This record gives sequence, structure tokens and C-alpha cells, in this order.
Amino acid sequence: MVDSKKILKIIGFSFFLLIIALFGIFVFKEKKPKESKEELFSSSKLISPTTTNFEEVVVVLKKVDDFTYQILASSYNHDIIGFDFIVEKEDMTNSSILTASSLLSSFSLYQTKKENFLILTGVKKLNFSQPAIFSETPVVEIKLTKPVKINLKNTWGKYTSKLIDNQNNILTPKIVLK
Amino acid sequence: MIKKFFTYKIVKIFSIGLIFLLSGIFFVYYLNQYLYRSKAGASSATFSFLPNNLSLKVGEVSAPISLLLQFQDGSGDEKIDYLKLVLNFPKDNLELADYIDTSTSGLSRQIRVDGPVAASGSGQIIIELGANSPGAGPATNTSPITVAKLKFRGKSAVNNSQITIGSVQIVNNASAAITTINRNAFSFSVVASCTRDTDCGNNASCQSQNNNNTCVCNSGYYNCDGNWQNGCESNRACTNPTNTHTPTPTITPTLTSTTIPTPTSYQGQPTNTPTSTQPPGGSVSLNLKLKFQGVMREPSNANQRTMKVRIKVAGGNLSSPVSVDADFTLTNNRNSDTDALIWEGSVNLPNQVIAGQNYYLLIKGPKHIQKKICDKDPSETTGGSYRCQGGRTITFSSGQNNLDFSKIYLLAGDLPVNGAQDGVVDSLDTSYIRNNLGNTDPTIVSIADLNLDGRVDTQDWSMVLYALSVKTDEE
Repeated sequence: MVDSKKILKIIGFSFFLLIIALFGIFVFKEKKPKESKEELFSSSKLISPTTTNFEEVVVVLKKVDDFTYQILASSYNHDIIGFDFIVEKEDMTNSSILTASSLLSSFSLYQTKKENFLILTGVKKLNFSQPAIFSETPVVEIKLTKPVKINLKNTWGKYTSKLIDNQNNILTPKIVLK
Repeated sequence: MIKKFFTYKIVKIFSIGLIFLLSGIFFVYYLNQYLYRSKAGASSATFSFLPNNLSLKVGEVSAPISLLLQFQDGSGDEKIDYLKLVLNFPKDNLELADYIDTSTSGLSRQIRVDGPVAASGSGQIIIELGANSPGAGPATNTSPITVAKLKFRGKSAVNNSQITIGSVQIVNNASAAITTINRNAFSFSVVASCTRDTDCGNNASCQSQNNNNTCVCNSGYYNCDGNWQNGCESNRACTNPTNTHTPTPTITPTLTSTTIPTPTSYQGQPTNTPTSTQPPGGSVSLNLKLKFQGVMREPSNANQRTMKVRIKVAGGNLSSPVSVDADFTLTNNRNSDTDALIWEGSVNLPNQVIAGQNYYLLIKGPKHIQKKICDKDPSETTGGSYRCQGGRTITFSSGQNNLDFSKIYLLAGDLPVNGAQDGVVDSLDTSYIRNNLGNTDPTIVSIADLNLDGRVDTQDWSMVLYALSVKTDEE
């Protein structure tokens, strides 16, 4: 009788410890990842202006047909006022010609040809004050006179593909080819 | 009967307890594996460099230096999702020479990787990488991970300095941070040598001495502080020389001797009288007239009436361009009533520039695109349209050479946004002006006020847009 009571007490105490331990692990781990994520997120806000930003900015080169490509941009809530894209033509000859045009009325597009690259600079016009926040927004259309493969490059020589926001942050995009 | 009852009860309680225990163990395993992990799988991470030390000459670019990451107690199931680290280096002695290669890291998303301009301005490199999707990063049992490959250039002499690893964040695919980080520093030395004139700063040139290139002051200039970043800063002999090296003058036996002022050494003392023939280097001076786009009126701020301009000489006997910085002063002169004001300045060219040789000039203002000029009196019909073409050159005479470049415009647009120009007019330059329209803050004005009217305005905006048609420095 006495032994049974003892066993019951031991088992009961073990359950109690187990529940406390489980509860402790649960509560402790509940807090830890949150802190870690907040820390990561807050670090993005510490980056000074005019440097590459933390958050995800994506630029997609999408093939519409053999003669037409589009550049789509997602700016992750940043108000974009300028961008640069480096378009590489895999055909080194001059038999195919690339021309680009802005798909946004609020942006002017400037283009420079260097070797087999087309350097595009988009500039938000002064008379547009509405924020330009891109979300898979088609921003540039590229036309080809002959079907050749083209790529978007992050860097080439002195040139870099980037988006600039209204705080002068340089947003280096992740480039996706579709 | 009573004993049986208790035996049954004990077995029942024990069974229930066992079920609870197994459920608890499963629950803890589930939490740990899929939701939260009490700690990262890997117990610690160690950063190191390969090689871990290096000696560079001033101006020399290192071979790629690998930044390695090795985990202790890693596993194939544990993947790295996010990595951020800060490298600190002495920016006075070293500069990042090229963009950082992170392609071997296994983390394909570049969140932030500082380039040469940002890094060399701050002495800090931030590398922030992520996996394309959770679990797509490298496993922690990979041995070791080459996070980045970096190239540095020696900037000024230093003995036994270090590149150190600052704050580090590593997060695995279970969102757990690996907090125990071991850091091995990179040791380096930079020896006072040079590979090009720009390594020696202003009023100095890089000369070959016994198979070793060293910096030598131009005639009439002295390096009194021992720092070649600011070149030969004094035009008076040094009272307390700080450097000990005394190179002998360059010998070029094919040329006849001419009487010229002797170059000075590191010590700021005149070098010994040469025993061999001396090239007529240092004897070429330029009196230049320049015209900068948009400066139609005298600036109200007196500081804006002088402008530092970089002049490079290339071609002729030079294997690479030599450069000199010079201050240009605004005059009241202009070629016509509707033309911009003319700036004047004089410069003594480095010793390597020899009278009688054929050269061309590359001229770059502090907010401007570099212009290549190969005519003594160039002109143009449209602003900024002059081009040096057809292999034309300028032949300098010994002594003073008057060059009037005031009939062509130096286009503005390459702003020193991060403290230095990048040789390109792009969206960073246009955006900087657009974001600061109407601004009169002296710091902003010094960067983005192109017409020097004391504020950033739409005229500056128009100028930078115009420069987009030229886009890059002429070479």
C-alpha cells in the first residue's frame, strides 16, 4: 500500500516535471526566433542612404515572343525614381538591333549601346509626383529586329543594374530570366 | 483482491504515463525539427582567409583572397539561409580593388555586397547573402564554404596591419542563429612602392629604380609628411622629413642632357646630381583654359570659384596615363555673351612627359564626365559634341604650353555621390539631383549643384539628363 502510494507520487511528480519542461521549451523557443527575425529586419533599416538595400527587389526579363522582351520590376514598397538595366545581346554581330522603350508614362528612358550591351537608364519625370512602387510592373519593352538571345546582367564594367528610390538608396535587384 | 486492484491501477497509470512521455518526446522532436530549434545544429562557425597574410606594393592589386567559413558539428540536413558579415580594413592603407565575387558561397541571393566605392570610402565591407528559398543554401557540413573572393589594392605603406571580421549573423533553415563565431584576421603589409603615377598622389610620379618602382616628387615639390596619398604636398623644402627613401633619378641614356630642376625624394631633399643623362621630364607645363557646362555666373560662394580638376596625359612614350590634379580658378572672361565663364589653371606635368612627344589629354572635373582632348585649340558646334578622333595628338614644347579648351564644354553629371565619382552618369546621379531639388544644404550643394548657383535646381536636373547622352568617361 505504502509502496503503491510512493510509486504514484513519483509518477505524478515526473509528469509534473515533464509538463513544466515542455512548457518551458515551448515558451523559450516561441520568443527566440521572433527576436532573431526582428533583429534581421531592423538591420535593414540601419543601412545608410546611397548604399545597397537589404530587402528583396526583383527584376524579371520576360520573353513575350521571339522579337519582344519585357523587363518587369518589383520594388518591395520602395518609391522608385530611377533605374539602370544592363541588357546583353548574345549575338556579337550587328545583324540584330535592340531598341528599348519605356512602358511607364511617368519614366523617360535613355539608352546607350556599348559593344553587345544596351545600357538603359530610366528617369522619373519631374511632373509626376505619385509614388512609383513596382509590383511585377512592366517597365521596359525591348524589341529585336532578329530573334537573338538576350540577358539581363547585374554588372558589366563600370555599369550596374539597379533601382534608386526616393531616399537615394541603391537597390540591387535579384535578376530572374523567364 | 486489494493487491490486484493496486497492481492494475499502477499498470494503468504507468501506461498512461508512458503515452504522455512518448507524446512529449514526439512533441519536443516536432518543435525542434520543424518549428523551433533550441539551438542551431552546428555548434560554432569559424571564418578565416586564404591566404591569411599578404604583402602588397602601393598600387598593386592582390590575387583573389578567399574568405572561408567552416562549421563545427554541422550536418547535411542543416542549411544556411542567411549570412551577414562586416569586414573592417584600414582604408588609408588598402582599398577594395574590384567587385566581390560571392558566386562560390552557395547563397545565390545578393542582398547587399558593398562595391569598391562604398567600401573604400568607409573602410568597411558589408556582405549580406541569402538562399533563394529556405533550405536552398549550403549545408553546414560542407567543408569549407568560400563565402567571397576579394581583391585589394595597396594604397599607402603600412607594416603588419589587419583586415578583421566584425559583426556576423548566420541563420540556418530552422531560423536558428549560430551564435558562436570564431574570427581569424587577415594580416597584410603594404610596401612603399608604386605601379603608376596615381599611386604617388599629386605632384609626384612613379619611377623605376633598380627593378623597384618608387614615388618621386616633381621638381619644386616635397613630400614632408611621408604620405604619398596626398603626394608632394609642399612647395618648400621639408624641415623635418619623415621618410627615408632616396631614389636616384631615372636614367634614359638615349636622350641628351638638359638643365632642369632636379626632382626631390621622399625626404624632401634634392636628389644627388645625376651622373648620367637626364630626360627633359618635368620641363613641360600647361596653362589651360577650361569651360564647364552651365556655369554662366560667378558663384556667390567664394569656395566655388576654384575647382579641382584631374588632368591625365596619355599616349607618346607613356604605357599608361599619368595624372596630376590642379586647381582651376574662375575668371570673368567668356567667349561670347551667351557662353559660360572660363576657368584657368596651370600644371607642371610629371617627369615622364617629354617635350616633342605626341600625347592626348583626359580632363575630368569634380562633377563632370572625363573629356578626351587631342587638339590644342578644339572647338565644337553643339555643347559637348567635340570628340578626339582620327589619331590626332598634341605635341608639347619644353616649358610653358598654352592650351585653350574654352571652346568646348566639359559636361557635368558624374556626381561624387558616395564621396567619389564612378565614371558613369546613371540613375544614381539623376536621382540624387531629383531627390534634392531645392536643397541649399552646403554638403548637398557641393555634390549636386552643377551650375554653381548655390542650390540644387531644375537647371542641374537638365544638365544631368543631357549628360546621359554621353554616359561615360571618355578614355
